[in-house]
This record gives sequence, structure tokens and C-alpha cells, in this order.
Amino acid sequence: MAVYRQNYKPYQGAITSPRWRFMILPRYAFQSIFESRPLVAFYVLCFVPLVIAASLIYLQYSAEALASLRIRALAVVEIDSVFFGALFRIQTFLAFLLVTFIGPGLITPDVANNALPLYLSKPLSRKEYVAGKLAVLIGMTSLITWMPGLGLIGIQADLAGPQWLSGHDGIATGFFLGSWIWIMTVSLVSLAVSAWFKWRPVAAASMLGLFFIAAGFGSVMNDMMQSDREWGILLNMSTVIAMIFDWFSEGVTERGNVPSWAALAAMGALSAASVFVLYRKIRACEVIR
Amino acid sequence: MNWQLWSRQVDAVAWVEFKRFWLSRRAIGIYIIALAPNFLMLPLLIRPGRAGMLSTAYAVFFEMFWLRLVIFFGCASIFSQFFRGEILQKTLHYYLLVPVRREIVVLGKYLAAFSGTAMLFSLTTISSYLLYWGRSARGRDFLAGSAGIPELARYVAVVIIACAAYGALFLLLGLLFKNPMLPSMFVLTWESLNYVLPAELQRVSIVHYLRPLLPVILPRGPFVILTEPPSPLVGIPGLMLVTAALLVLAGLVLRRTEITYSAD
Repeated sequence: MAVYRQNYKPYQGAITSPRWRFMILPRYAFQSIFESRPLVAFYVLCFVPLVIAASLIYLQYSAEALASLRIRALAVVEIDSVFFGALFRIQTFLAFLLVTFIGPGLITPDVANNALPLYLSKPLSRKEYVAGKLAVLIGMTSLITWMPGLGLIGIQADLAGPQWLSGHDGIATGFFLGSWIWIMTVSLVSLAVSAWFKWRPVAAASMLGLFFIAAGFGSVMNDMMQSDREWGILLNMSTVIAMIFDWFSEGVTERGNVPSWAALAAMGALSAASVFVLYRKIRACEVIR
Repeated sequence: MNWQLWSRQVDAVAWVEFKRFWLSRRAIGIYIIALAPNFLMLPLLIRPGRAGMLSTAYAVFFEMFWLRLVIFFGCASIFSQFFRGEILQKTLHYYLLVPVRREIVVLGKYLAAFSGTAMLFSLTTISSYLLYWGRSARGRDFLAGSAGIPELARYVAVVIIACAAYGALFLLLGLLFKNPMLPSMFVLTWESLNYVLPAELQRVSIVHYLRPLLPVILPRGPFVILTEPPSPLVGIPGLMLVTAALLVLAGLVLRRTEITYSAD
């Protein structure tokens, strides 16, 4: 076609509904995430504990399989809140690692390369931008936490009968709510950290520091203070989410004389702080002093 | 070999890098983390009677929190930034274009990072130690006695050696990997769990040589595989040699480095 004929023509294709425009961001984010082979390998590894847990549940109710495998030790593994609590802790830790390595790559490049004005000049609000990035993390972590967790609880309830579910009705609630609280908190923290730091390795280091150094700090604080209430455990995110799970699943209301609602409040405070950072940092323009 | 010229060039690179990192906003997070133990000790000044006054309590704090977490993560985030940060800022080519040997750039950057980390973590170790022992009359007696200050000197020596060795390792990782935090996690796991490994593998870790230098050695749990602790006369020169080897390796890597900023 001659050059003089290539003049402006309005877009003729289908237009995404305004409600779902934020989902365009995850579509491209997933493409770039799954280009990394080590990350794909790690994501596959995240499913290994779930497969092992499913096998253990199956073997409990298959005398034939147990007899053929000749593994008597497996017969004494009780499928109860302790079993699902351990699985919950493993999966939430893996979800944290996943978020630590994916999260910083979602916003940092946009901030570092001044691409935010480009995004926000489109019909996409700041909230939708954050929702789009959050959807990536929620989607990937849900697939390794509450979704398979509820599936396993369903399998166990099916094999053990409805009386098991009535006796352990808190496990499903604990798994579902605990996973969502964890996913939302670590995802928001990860996005906030990646918006704050312009360098991806520094953002990842900050996430790891927040998890490990804060936990160590809390533990040492408890040792040093020797107080009646071990408030330091609220700095250990892993313990905090375990407290929340125990609260919802078994009704345990305290740990180390610290009430379980304090754990929920700690997660809420961390999420609120992250939302504030995102509100301050995700802007179409930046004043550089 | 023009040692005088090289020495001047190392000085220049180290001074520029020192000012660029340690006097910038980037270092604020490191300062806050380094001051964390002092924040921890301050409440003890108000309520000194609640906590015990034991060398083991400080030893637990130093080994489990300070050395294995704060110094480790501090060195990981500081030293790996010195090259990776330049690549992300798209400024490394300025160094590669000046008529300076690349090994000199490595050494200058290492010295800038090492002098800052060693100074910062040593000062906070001293202040936390003095705050811990200085909060009661019994503690002050311990400090004034024959054991207090030599124990502190050993802690500071461990801090300086740890900064030197971990620093060289993370400087190299920052050059080799796009995201040095993945290998850093591997190093953290290796350093934390190396006591359950066979004796030969235990020797391939930095903390194995640092532990015998500590004034109070903590038990390491039921799964430990006991090995002969290395003598400080072997451990310290050994770690210094490893540090030098890592720096030489970093120099060789930088020598072959070709920058493609678009890939990062």
C-alpha cells in the first residue's frame, strides 16, 4: 500500500469490557513469568507436597494398596487438623517464596523504566493497575494453597464419610480463610516493596528480610524480654498465619499468651501499610528531587 | 607492574563508590537493620530485672540473629548491589570505558562495600554488647573484669571476617546472576543446615570457620554430625585466602563481561 494511503483509522476490533480491563495485565505477565524455566520448575515442585498428601489420604482408605506396598507406618498417619495444619504451613511457605520471586518483577520494571505513565494514560485506573498485578499473584498462589487444600479436604470427607467432616468442620474454613489472608497480605507486601524499590534484587531481598530477619528479631526479643506475653511472635509471619489457622480450624485463641486476634490485626496492619505505599507510589507522574 | 598507579586507582574507585552508596538514600534500610539490636536492647535498660544476665543469651542473639540473619542478608543486599545495581541503573559501562584494569574496579568496589559494612556492623555489635551488659551493676562488673572486653573483641573480629568473606561471595554472585537472591537463598540454606552434612561438606562453608572464633559456642541440636572444629590459626588465613580467590574470580568474570542492558 502506498505510504500516503496509510492514514489514521480507528480501531475496529472487539473492545474489552471496562470491568475486565485489568485482566489484560495478568495475560502478559503470565507469558513473561512462564518464560523462566527455573520458575516453572519451582512451580511444579510446589505441587509435590500436595501429591504426597493426596497419596497419604488415599492409602489410609485402601487396605489393598497398603498391603501391597507393605508400608505399615503410613497406616498410623492420622488425617486430622494436625495433618492439614502441616500441609497448610508448607503450602503457605511455598506460596511466600513464589510471591517473593514473582512479585518484585511485576511493578519494579514499570517504575524503573518510567512506564507507569504509559499504562495510566490508557483507560486503566491506578486501582485497576494494582488489581491486575495482584491477580497474577492471587491466581498463581491460589492454585497451590486453598484450591487443592479444599480438594484434599473434599477427598478425605468423601472417603471417611460425612461424620469426619462434621467433626472437623473448622479445617476447611481455616484452610480457605487462612490461605486468603496469607495470599492477600504477602501479595500486597510484595507489590508495595516492588513499587518502593526500583531494583528487583533489592525488592526480593527486602521480602526475604521481612520474613527471616523479622522472625529472628521477634524470637530474640522474646528471649531477651522474657515477658509474660511473647509479643515477638507477631513479627514471625509464619507463626502469625499458623495462629490464624489454629484459631479458625480448632478454636485456639492464643499462643505464647498472645491472643489470636492480634495475629489477624498484625496481618491487617501489614496489608494496610502496603496499600498505603501502593497509593503513594503508583502514580502517573513522579517528582524527582 | 605499576603498583603505585593501581593503588591510586583503587583508592579513587573505592572513595567514589563509598560516597555513592553509604551516603545515599539506598543505605537507609541497611542503617535501620543494623540498628535493630540496639532498639532491642533499649527496653532492657528500662526493665533490667526481667532478663537473665548470661553470656549464652548474648551468644544466642549474636549467632542466631546477628551473624546468620542480619550480617548475612546485609552483605547479600549490599555487595550484590555494587555490580547488579550498576547494570540495572545502566551505568556500568562508564567504569568499563575508563582506562582502568577491571580487577581494579572489582577491588575498589569491594573495599568500598567492605569498609562500610565492617564499620557499621562492628559499631552496632559494640553498642549492642555494651547496652546488654551495661544495664546492671553485675553486667558492668563483667565488662570491667578480665573477660568482658576480650569477648567483645572476638565478636567484632567475627563480624569483620564474616563481612570480608560473605562480601566477596556476594560480590561475585552479583556479577554472575541476574537475580542474586536465588543463589543467596541457596547459600543461606547451606550455611544454616551445613552441620547435618558430612564432615567434608561442612568444610565448604563460611560459618564452619567462624564458629570456633566465637567466645561462646552454642549446641546445634540433635541432628548434628560432630567434626573437629578448625583451629583459628587455620580458619582465619583460610577464609582470607578464599576471599582473595573469590575476588580474583570476580575480576576474571568482569574482564569477560559484555554489557547488554536490554537483557536486564
